[in-house]
Amino acid sequence: MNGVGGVVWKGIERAASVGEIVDELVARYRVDAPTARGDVDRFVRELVEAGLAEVVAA
Amino acid sequence: MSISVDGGPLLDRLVARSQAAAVPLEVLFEITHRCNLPCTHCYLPDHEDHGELTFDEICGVLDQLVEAGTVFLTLTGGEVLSRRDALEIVDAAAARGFVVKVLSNATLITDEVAERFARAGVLEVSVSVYGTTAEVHDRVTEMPGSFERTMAGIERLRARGIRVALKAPLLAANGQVARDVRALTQLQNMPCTLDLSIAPKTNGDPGPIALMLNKAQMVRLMSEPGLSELLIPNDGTGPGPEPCNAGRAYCAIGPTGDVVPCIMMPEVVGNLRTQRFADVWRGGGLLGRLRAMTAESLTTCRSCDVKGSCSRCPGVAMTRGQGIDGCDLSAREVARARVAARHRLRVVAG
Repeated sequence: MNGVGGVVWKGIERAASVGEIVDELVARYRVDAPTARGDVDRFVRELVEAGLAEVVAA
Repeated sequence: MSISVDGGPLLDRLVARSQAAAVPLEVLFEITHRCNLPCTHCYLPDHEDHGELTFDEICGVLDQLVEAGTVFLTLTGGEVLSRRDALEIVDAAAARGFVVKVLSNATLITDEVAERFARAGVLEVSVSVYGTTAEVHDRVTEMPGSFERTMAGIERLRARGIRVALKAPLLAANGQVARDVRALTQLQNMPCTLDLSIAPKTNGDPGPIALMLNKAQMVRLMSEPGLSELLIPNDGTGPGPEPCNAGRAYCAIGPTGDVVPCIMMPEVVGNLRTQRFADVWRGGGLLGRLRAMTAESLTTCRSCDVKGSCSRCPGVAMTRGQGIDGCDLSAREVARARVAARHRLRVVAG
């Protein structure tokens, strides 16, 4: 798992919200917020479609 | 298939002793394969009459089962009530002292049928329900109007104090209604079984397998409050599958008198038109292999990473081409979904 994946995974594990994970990615990598948001949303969607995750309210 | 009459530890001891002594404590008797509903996922290859046992022949078989030590008798089909003499068969079974259970789609339960069941002392009628609306249920039965008739039949039974247990096979076509079915049974205080594992037809036709929910859909259902305890019956840390009662304390008899170790295990071990039940039951072959099986001899299971979550059926293992001691591929799919559901991530929105 690369660094970006690690940030997302660790964020999910510590129950950070999607927004907080995006903020961390923006702070640590050269990526703008909309792009990071799109990537994280897509990753979460794939997890949900595979039955590996569920989205819960903040 | 297992003995499912409520009984607690006493029944457990009875089953254990029956297994040890190879007494056919429970027999499932398919008195017909004819059925008025062409359900999409049915395990029967057809619903034709291939020469059903007559009423007198059935009574003869029942007498032999009494001698063999059978206590629990489940009458099933097809649809039991497709036979004109179904009620006489129920009476004949009750008169011999069996604890009688009936599996039915309930569409043919009239007031008279319910009354006769009650008078005979039928312990339970188990009914398959595929949804809580006609739209969903009838999609699976492929018979418009079947939902209304099934619900009416259930009410007639309950009105006479007969326990009704609902079975809900969950398929891609109706899986989303699992919560509704659960809610319905809770509301009406009915036992409910939700089944995710679908068997091929008994002739090996894998058609019904394609109707199963996929793993992601199963995991979503298993993660729902109220469903998870039904769909994930243990914590997954147990030793895994053990041999079931099939051929040890249980067997099934088909409409033409064929004896099989289980309704899901379609290898005929004898026929009661030409043989005595006791002689068939005593025989070696497949029955001998089943009685010799131990948890340790299920070597495929022992090395499986989801064994602790698996509700294996040796019959489905057989019909899916893996042999009676091989992998039940349908149950393994469900087991994998159970493991995934336990470890499901929670992503916080926002």
